[in-house]
Amino acid sequence: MQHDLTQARLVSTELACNGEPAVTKAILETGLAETVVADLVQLHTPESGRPEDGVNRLMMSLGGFALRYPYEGCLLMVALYPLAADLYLHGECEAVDEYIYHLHPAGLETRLRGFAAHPSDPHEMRKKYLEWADCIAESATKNQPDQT
Amino acid sequence: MPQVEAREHFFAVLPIPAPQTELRDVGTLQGKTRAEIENMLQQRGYTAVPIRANDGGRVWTKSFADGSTAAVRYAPGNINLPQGHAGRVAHAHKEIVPSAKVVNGDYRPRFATTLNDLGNQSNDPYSIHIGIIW
Repeated sequence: MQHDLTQARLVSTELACNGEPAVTKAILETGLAETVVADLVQLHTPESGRPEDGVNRLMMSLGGFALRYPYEGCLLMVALYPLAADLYLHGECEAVDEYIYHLHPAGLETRLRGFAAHPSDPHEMRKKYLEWADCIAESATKNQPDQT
Repeated sequence: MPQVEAREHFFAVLPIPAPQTELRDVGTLQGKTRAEIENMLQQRGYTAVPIRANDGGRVWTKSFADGSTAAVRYAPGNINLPQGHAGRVAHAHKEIVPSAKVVNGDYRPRFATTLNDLGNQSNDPYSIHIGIIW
């Protein structure tokens, strides 16, 4: 039976449009969205192309989306990270680090600490989640208005 | 001994891991050409594999008896990143990875400990992306 990519297609459309990403937000509320991100990679992989190309294209798409919707964009990047890392795509992984560093969206730190606290860690991402969470916390402190 | 002082003393006496010493001894990479870096790494016993992105970048590794590996990795830069992102321009990285996580000369990025050009641990993108000449 062919895998249903309907949900991923809807998200893919929202990534490219300026409208409210209602489907994407709803999916992200339910969890880490690993499944939809894996499907998005498949959708972004050109015919007879390598999965590496799919990750690369998706990351470009997520980059533009994250500038409009930092929280949702970074959360999708967080879900993409282990897939990119398993393909040894250092550049894509570094790009995720950089978007989180620059955008440090409100709410993401709590979400990341939640992922890190999860008892199972099949992708060995705990250290990375905490590193990102610390980075966001540090950025928030730096950007606090001067109280003096 | 006060608690803070005791902690500082504890860290002061911790030996620096061999790969970190190695990545300090390599010297700074900032402003060097790819060819200069490659020659120097080759002379120091590193071996290289191309990175999977096929963009001309390479990963150079040298393993140590303590079970860790020193890595120098460089890439041409990703012009799709927004202006101001450190990864947009040609750069190198100095990293330490558990040797057990090195597969065919490469490793998954999440297992790397990132260093700045001086060989000190850092997560700051502007410190860990070391500008080089492509």
